[in-house]
Amino acid sequence: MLPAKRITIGDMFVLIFSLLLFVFLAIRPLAAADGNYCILTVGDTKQVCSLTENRTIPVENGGYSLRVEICDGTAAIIASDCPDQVCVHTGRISKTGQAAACVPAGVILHITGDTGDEEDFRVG
Amino acid sequence: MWDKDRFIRQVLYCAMYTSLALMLSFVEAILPLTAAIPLPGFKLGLANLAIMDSAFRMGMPAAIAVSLGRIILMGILFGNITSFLFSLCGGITVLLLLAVCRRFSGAFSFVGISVLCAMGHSAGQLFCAVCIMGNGAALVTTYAPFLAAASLIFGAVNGFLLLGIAPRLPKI
Repeated sequence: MLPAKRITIGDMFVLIFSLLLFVFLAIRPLAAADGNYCILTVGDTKQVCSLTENRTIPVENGGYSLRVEICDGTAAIIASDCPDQVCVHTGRISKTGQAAACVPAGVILHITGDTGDEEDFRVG
Repeated sequence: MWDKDRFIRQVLYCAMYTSLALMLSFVEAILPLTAAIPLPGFKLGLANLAIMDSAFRMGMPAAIAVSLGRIILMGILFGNITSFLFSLCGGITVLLLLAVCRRFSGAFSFVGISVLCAMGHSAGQLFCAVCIMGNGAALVTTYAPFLAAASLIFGAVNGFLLLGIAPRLPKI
């Protein structure tokens, strides 16, 4: 029982739906406002940092060492000894909802408009 | 009625499909894709060719055996517990979608099915990442657009490949 041998209307529906989903997911962060805080999640601990105060934060978790930099209203994971370096390649983030994550180290850096009520401690 | 020859033939084809899927996964693993496109879970999805073909030629039990066989062997040979969990979540989503597509096999060609499976695989892996790391909204916002684009492009490419190859393969 093989599927249809030519492109069908069902295929077109799947392709158009996937394209629309991509456009929606891609446009949403661009429309977001600049954030005021970044939330650094290391394992189960959350740390809220103001984006107005420049600093570098060393992070150690899961056997990996990272360096998070907050500079001129943006945040980034600038160094990591994880194998794939995805977190470093994410670059600088500044808009609400944007995030950089290091999955091997269990570290997530994401931008918010306010501090919310999820912080364990606040820096700056 | 129990047909011993048919059963042996099915087992042999399952082994062949598993070997093919494993070989394609290995080719993907040694390609330096992450350096070019630094995204976790980003793959061409070539192993899906073997799994999709096995699902439509031999049925879902064979596809489940091939998919789980590949995931377990890749985990043992080249992966770790995290990559195994990611593969398992993606693999289960693909199998569920293949089961649905088989019920409506006339409505889709391999192109639509492949894109759907690629999207499902990415969604399964994102779900796994959210379960492991928490902070689902941030992860989805960051990675979902890239994974959706990669799934759409490579799912379509794989679908067209299988659309061309499948009719030329011998009947099982």
